[in-house]
Amino acid sequence: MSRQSSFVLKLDKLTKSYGKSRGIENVSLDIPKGEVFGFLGPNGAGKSTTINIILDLLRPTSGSVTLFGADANKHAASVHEHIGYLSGDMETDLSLTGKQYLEYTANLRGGVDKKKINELVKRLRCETDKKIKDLSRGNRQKIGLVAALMHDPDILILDEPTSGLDPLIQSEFNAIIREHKERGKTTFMSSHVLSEVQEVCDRVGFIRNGKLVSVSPLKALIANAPRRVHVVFKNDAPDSRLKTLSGVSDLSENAHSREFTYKGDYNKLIQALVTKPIVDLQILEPSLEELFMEFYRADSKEVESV
Amino acid sequence: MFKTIFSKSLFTLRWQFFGWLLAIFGIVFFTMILYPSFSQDGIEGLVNSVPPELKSLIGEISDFKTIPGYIGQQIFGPNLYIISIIMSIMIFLGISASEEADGRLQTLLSYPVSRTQIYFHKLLAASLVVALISCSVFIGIQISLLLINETADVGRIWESIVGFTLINLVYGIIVFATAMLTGNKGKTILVASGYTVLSVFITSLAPAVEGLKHVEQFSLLHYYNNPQIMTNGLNGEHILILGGVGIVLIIIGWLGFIRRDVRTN
Repeated sequence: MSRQSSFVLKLDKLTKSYGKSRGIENVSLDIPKGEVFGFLGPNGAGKSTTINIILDLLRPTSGSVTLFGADANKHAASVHEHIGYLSGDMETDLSLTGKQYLEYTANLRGGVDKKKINELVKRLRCETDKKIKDLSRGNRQKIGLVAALMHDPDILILDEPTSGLDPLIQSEFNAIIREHKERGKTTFMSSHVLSEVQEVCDRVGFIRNGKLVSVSPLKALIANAPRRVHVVFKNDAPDSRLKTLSGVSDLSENAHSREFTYKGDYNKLIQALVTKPIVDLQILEPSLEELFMEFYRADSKEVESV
Repeated sequence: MFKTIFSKSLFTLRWQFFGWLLAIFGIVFFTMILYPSFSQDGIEGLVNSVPPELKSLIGEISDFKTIPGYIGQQIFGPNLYIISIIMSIMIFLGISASEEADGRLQTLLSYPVSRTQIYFHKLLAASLVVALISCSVFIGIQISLLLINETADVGRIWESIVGFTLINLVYGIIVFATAMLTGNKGKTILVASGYTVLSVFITSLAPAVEGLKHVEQFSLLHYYNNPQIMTNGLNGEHILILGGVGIVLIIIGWLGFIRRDVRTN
């Protein structure tokens, strides 16, 4: 297996069809070493299908997945030596204790340092003496996280990883992802917790109806996104100027205050606003959640109209 | 403690192992203890009153009068093999389709283990459990023979145990191969239980029903204890057929499993 490829993970025109129902279609993506990539989309968009193909649980109808230069479907077992995987609904033998499960998974991997396991167990405050069936969902998820991280994998593949985790552990999880990146390791994660994606991801990809419709560095995505502008005037507002200013949309009026979305030249915006005395002005950067909602609003409208 | 998928699979099957071991041993022991009562003349009238069509289910009166006949009919006959085949189906089902249905197989496949490794480790673990339980019949027979002051040819008992183990394994392998080929628990149960019921029905009634004679060879039970192993010894051809069917099913299941999609949520 070649480790020389500049991309750790490469999806090439990946397609999976399930007869009449949709899977994914022509998904192409390159993830370089050291990147934290957020894979976003609503339920049923194709996130888990993509991850399941990467893990060789599903076989692509066409296209290929390359991990560390090797075909991830043909050389699944050897490729998996470099992967740490955690899904939000991790299932394992419930009659094992956390300790037994970690011991088992360490044996399956081979060569795992017990010290590393103990460090992670301590850090994530795992209850390893109880049977997994007696643990809450969050505590099971922590055991899964230790199993995914114990061998310091070259790539972490996470499918809704923090579901069920309390905010303290979520924060610890984010710190672990950042440290993983600092060591030059890669992360590919799908998540519904967009604040978490915004906090740790370098790039995000949006998948819609099985197609990857946008891939962008998170900072650029937010920098190029329209801003929400809230302005309070002392007396009248310059409505005629605002209404004719290119880039203004969703304008709402309330007495002396005006709120609208703006995408365009800020000098022109300021010139339009300062024609009337201003009491307060806020130009807000959108959150990833707002972008996500904006991105998929069209989908929900389509669904509503069906 | 859990070094491999094989040892972990044995751990998963531990309660089924102990439960079925106790059950099978208990049935053998108590059936054997009752031999002196069955060998009395009193049972003759009862057996003779059974319609000829059902004789194949309970056996001939002469079978109850000798130890080899009694063991062949009552221990290695339908009374026990119907139960032991159900045991085998449950054990193989638990280690295959059930693990895929609840997502444990998917988690396992995310580790650096090949599908071939998973397939054969699980197959070996379930086969070992079924074989050990089947072999416990030998201990049950020997202890009870001591208690009732009787003896039997140990070689023939072992030959019968081989046949008994093989028939249990082949029915288990039908389940395992179907489960690994389809990944569908419902379909597996349907195929396994459907074929088992059909084969018990055909093998039991074929000697008395002319119309079933031409389909008799499609029931794997036809190749077990036919005629009685305890009296006549193992039939090499039958062993080859059972072994061959088992191996073919193992290969089909394996080829299917390494090629197909695993069920995902």
